[in-house]
Amino acid sequence: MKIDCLNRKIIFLFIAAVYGLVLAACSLKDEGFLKIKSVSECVSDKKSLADFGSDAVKLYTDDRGSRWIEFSAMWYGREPVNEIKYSYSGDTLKVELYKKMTVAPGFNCPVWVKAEVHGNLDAKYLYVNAETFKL
Amino acid sequence: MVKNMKRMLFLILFVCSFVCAQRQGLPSLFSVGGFAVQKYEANWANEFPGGEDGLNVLVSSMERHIKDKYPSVDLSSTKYFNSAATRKNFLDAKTNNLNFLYYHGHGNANFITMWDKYQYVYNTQKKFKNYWVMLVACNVFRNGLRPDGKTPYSNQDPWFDGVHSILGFASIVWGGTLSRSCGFLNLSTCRQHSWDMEEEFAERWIKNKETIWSAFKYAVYNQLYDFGDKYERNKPYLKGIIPKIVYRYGKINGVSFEPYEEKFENAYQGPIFQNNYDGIASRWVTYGTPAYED
Repeated sequence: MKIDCLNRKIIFLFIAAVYGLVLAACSLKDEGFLKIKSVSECVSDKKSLADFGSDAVKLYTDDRGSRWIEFSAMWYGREPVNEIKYSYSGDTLKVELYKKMTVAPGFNCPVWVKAEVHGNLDAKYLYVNAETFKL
Repeated sequence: MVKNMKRMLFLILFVCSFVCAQRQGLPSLFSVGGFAVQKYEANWANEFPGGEDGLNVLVSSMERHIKDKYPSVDLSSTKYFNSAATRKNFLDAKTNNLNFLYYHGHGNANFITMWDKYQYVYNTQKKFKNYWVMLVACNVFRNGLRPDGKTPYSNQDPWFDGVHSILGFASIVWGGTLSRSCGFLNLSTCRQHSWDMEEEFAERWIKNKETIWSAFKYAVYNQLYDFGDKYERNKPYLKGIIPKIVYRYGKINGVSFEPYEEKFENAYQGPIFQNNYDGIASRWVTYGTPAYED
């Protein structure tokens, strides 16, 4: 009986642990490493990200201690961004603005993106829309 | 002596009026094709859906209607998709051999966007010698003045070097597929494809023998605007659109001609108004409330 009970406890604890891990993973995913604060309208008279040069990226900490990253990216004008996807490739943080779209306008322009950084930004470069910028 | 010279001059003019006159009618060979940039190199610009289907549908529809209506006309087609739709290929002289040149991709006032990273083609960099060009791209022919109040958004004349007319847009144009629930108990899905515009245009212009402008503006109205209230117009760029035709006009064979009226079966063969023309004109129609920057 005791063994059965112990087994049940172990199983329960195992399930709880798995559930906890899934929950943690989900909450991490929801939280996001980069959380979009704002996406500007089209930046006038700029045709490509190369035009921005070294001004394309800003990384700073505000008075409240929050860390922010601002960068330029190509996007469909005022179409809202739904998601910001990111991954690391060595010391480069790859970022992609994303929205599932079955229709889209035939228009692309550079916009400014402001995102809050949660956690450690362990990268020296930012790669966005086929352009690499030094952080 | 003088009488003989006059006779000779008259004879030369008489013969020249036949030989030198610009021929109207069907071409012996009709070549159609173009460039569809749906995706961009390393995603340097965002995807513009509908380009591959747009080019395929335009070419196949034109070929089908020409075979049905004018079987004596030989056909050829050339298609450049995505990674082949480079700036180099677009500027290559062989694209001038296409009677009908099509482009589908991102654009803005005075330029279009090619596959390769940061590569654009501006109005001053490409002079069309084709008979007809269709640019399915946003704002290339945008109307009005820039915020400085002096400079026009677009200048169309630099694109011209013999091209009869260029079809395009003065507003945002959309591409892709709209879908909605429909049918019994809304259990089915109905779809509206942007490339139905190219299909209807080819049918109207070639099969129904409409003028090029009539074919284009009604195809745009029916397929890119008047899909009715059945589909949700939840994007600014679905609320309106401005199709536009641009052309040089003047006299050909002593007769005034405005190429917006050109029909497929009696089109002038060869480039027109390369040097001698009276001016440049455009026609457009505003459907709904168009957007310009999204």
